[in-house]
Amino acid sequence: MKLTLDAIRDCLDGSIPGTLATCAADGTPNVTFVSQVDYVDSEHAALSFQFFSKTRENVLANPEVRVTVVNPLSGASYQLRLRYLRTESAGPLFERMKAKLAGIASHEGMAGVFRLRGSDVYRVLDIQPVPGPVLAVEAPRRNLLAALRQASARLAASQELDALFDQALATLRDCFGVEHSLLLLLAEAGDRLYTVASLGYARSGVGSEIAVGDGVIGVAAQQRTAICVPHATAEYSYVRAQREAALALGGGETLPREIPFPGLAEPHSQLAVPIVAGSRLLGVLYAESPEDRRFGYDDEDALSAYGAQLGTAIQLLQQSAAEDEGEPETASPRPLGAPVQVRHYAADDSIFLGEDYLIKGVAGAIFWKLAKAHAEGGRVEFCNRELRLDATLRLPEVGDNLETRLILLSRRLAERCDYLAIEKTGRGRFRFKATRSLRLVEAG
Amino acid sequence: MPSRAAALTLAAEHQAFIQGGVSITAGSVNAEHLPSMARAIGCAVNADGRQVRLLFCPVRAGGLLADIAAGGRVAVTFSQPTSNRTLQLKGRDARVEAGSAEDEALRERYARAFVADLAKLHFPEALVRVLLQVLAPAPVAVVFQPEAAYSQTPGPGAGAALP
Repeated sequence: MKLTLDAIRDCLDGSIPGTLATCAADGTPNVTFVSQVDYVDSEHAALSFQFFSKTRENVLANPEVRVTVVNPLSGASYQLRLRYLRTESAGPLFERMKAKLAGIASHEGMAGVFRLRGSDVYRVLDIQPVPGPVLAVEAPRRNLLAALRQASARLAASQELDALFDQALATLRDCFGVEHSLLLLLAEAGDRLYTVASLGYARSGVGSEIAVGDGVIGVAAQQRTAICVPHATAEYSYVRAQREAALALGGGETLPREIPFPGLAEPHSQLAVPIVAGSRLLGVLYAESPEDRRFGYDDEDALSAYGAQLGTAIQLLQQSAAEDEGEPETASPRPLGAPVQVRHYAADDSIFLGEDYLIKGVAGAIFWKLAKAHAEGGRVEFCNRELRLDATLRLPEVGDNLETRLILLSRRLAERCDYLAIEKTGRGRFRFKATRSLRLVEAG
Repeated sequence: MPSRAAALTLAAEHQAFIQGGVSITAGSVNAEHLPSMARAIGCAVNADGRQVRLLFCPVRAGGLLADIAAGGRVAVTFSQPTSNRTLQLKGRDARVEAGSAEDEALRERYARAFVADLAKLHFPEALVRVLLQVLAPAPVAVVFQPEAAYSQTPGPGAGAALP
């Protein structure tokens, strides 16, 4: 039976470097190591191109090469005959390999030396096993297809968007064994992602933001592909970058208007997959682990499929949440507690409760509108429709994130204070509850 | 490849390196310029530092040995897994010889050194032994005179010819 790349995918995890034999135009052989032999599909492999070298010259002169890869658990070796097709130096494949290589480089003490110049794509012409007995390999700890089936059923059972967000991460833990995870959604402008749910951290980090293109999560969003880093690396550490940024600004734990990213200080494995609904990117699902090489190709595939299921579920509940709209009531029980100062900065719609930063952006603008209506007219009951019709909030007409923003806002309020709350009262309706009176300050 | 009439004399430091616990992969080419390759399972340098003797399993390295027997071209890369220090030798006069009784001792000495280096990276001995197995009564040898040596340690100096 002809071997395909699928059958030997476990050899391509980068833990044992491949060896590459090429031939110069004059017939001189050359042998070199290759940090990454990456699975593209069953008929294509991509090799990391890191240095301009003899190998590079040979491949361009003589595109047929041979590569040996080794299964890191069984010791089984395979020889691949490959034909060079092209080099990609941008795009999903390149970014996927770049992230992986950063992890490998850091693990091998080669950070700053290994740098991906390109992903060399080859057609697989033939795969031959090197003969001889190999070690028995233990069965994988879980069947990911069975896990995916169970996870899909659990997602389908969620009726509310708010519950779905938490369910998505609990399912990731229960079905896939992922103990630390985040769910981030794409902001209206499409340039940032914000956390709406997290699992497995001391602080929830709800509301924390990652720019599209930044790190594992940002690149997964930008390229709409799974990004996996198999080892701890400073290059892809959010917590470290945040700490350094804060220090650069002169001290404090975090930036004044940033909610700290809740992730592990030094994850040894990171995997981010896009959450998509059809062709639309909704956000990113992020999983991390203190173990090295926790996520392999099969995990990437399983979580990518799960991300697509989740996207469809989110879109469905966003649409149904927007359906039923009634006229708001205007009941106004007066709050009792001591007044609290609420400051709004128009430049970025950031909100401070007393001296504590609450939120900014669209969620901040929504909060300010609610707080004003409450403080000036004593309003308590609101509906989604009036927010959507308010041009000052700049909500997009389609692909509405409003429900998600309200969930984010209500979660931030629940975390940051005990005198303000947003409670859902029906489809597309909610209550703004304040047990202290609000003293609003437009801070300019 | 630089055209050199005489064989290279390997510096003592390089001799010690390629006879230590390093990963050894040899490559050759056939008449159609298609490369072949195999893992070597032992290396010895002769007394004057001008000839290298490599051991192979005749079954696992069949394609490489056939190309060497037919064309004599060889490239051999030696790399220490724990340091990534890498060196490549090339020659044009490689020939295949039957293994000798001494080769068995060389093979075991090499296996122990390679196992020891990989143990530092947490690769178990049983796994390394799979890579070094011989599916025949004895290993065979490839003998050649290096004409060129290159440093291939990853970094800016990779590919530079060694004196």
